[in-house]
Amino acid sequence: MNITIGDVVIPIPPIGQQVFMGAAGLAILGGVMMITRKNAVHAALWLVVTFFQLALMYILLGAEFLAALQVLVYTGAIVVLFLFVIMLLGLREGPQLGGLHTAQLWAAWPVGLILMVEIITVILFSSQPRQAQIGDIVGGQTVVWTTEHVAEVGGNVQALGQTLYTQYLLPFEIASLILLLAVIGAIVLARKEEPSEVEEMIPSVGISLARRTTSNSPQEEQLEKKLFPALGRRRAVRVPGEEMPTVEQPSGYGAGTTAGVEVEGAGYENGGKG
Amino acid sequence: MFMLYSLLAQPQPIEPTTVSQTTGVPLAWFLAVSAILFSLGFIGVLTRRNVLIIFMSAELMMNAVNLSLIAFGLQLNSMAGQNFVVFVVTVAAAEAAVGLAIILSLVRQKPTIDTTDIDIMRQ
Repeated sequence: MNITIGDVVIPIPPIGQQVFMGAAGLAILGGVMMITRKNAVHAALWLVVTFFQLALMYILLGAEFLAALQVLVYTGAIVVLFLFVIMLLGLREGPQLGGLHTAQLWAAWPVGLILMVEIITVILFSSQPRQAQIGDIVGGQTVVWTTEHVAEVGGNVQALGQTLYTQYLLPFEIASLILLLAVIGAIVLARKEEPSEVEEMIPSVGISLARRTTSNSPQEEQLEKKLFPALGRRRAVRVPGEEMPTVEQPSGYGAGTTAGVEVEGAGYENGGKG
Repeated sequence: MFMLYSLLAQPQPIEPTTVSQTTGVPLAWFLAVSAILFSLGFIGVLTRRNVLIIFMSAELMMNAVNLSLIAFGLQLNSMAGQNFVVFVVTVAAAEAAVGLAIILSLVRQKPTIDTTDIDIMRQ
C-alpha cells in the first residue's frame, strides 16, 4: 500500500505503526505542554492527555486491563485528586504559585536532553533482548505467555490474575498494606484540628458543623434549629463582648444525643475564642 | 521405531512472540517514547518551582517506566512486567495521597506552593 504523488512513492505504514505514531506524538506533546504551563490546572489537563495516549499504547501492547487501570486510577483518581488540591488551595496567579527556576533553567534542559539522548542511544545500539522464553511459574510449571497462550487462558485479565494471585501473592498483600498506610497517613497529615479538640468533638454529630459560625441558607438554619436546639440557642444569645453562658460538660459520652449536642456547643465556643 | 522416537523426542518448543510481531512496531520505538517521557518528567522536576507540577512530573516519570515495563513484558513473553505495573500504580496512588496531604499541611503553615519559599525549618 503506497501513496503515489507523481514520481514520489510514500509507503503507508501498517495500522499498528499509525496508532503508535499518533499516540506517541500526542503523549510527547502532552508531556512538553505539561512541564511548560504556568497554570497548574492546565498542566494537570495536559497530563490527562498524556495518560490517555499511554493507555492507547498499553492496548496496542495487549495489556487491556492495565489500560483500563491507567484511565481509572491515573486520570480518574490521581489527576482528579491533583485538581481537587489545586482548587482547594485556591492560590491565585502570582509569586506564591512559583514559576520557573530561572537560575537552573540554563542547566536543566541540557541535562535532561543529554539524559534523553543517552537512553535512546543505549536502546538503539544495544542488542535487543533475545526472544527468551522467560515465562512465569504458575502452579509449579513454567508458562510462556505468548500471545496465543494468553488467548488460550481467556485473555489478558485472566493471565494477569493467574500470575498476580500465585507468583506475586505476597507483594500483592504488601501493596494492600501500603494503601492502608497511605490512607492513615493522608488523614493524619491533612487533618486540621488539634487531637484534643477532635476527641471532644467525636461523640457529636459532625465536626465541621460545630466550627461553622453561620448557616449557608435559611433552610439549613431551620434544619439545624430543629435538629440541634442547643446550638440554635447558643447562636441566639451570642453577643460580642458579652460573657458566653457556660455549658456543663456531660460526665460521659454515652449519655445520648443531648449530650452530643452539648459537647458540640462547647466545641463551638472554643472555636470562636480561638 | 520412528513413532517411538517421536514420542520420546523433546516436546515442540513454544514459538515465542515479539513486540514487532504482535503490534507491528519495534520494541525500540516504545522504549524511545518511554525515554523521552521520562526525560520530560526529569526536566519538569528540575525546572519548575510549583510543588504540584513537580509532583505531576514525577507521575509522568512513573508512567514512562510503566510503558517500558509492559513493552519488555511482551517482548519476553512474561507477565512479570504487567504485574510490576500493577504495583507501580498502587505505589503511585499512595504517594499522591500522602504527598498532596503534605502539601495541604504545608500551605496551612505558610500560604505558598513555591519550593524556594518553603523554608519553615530554617527560620
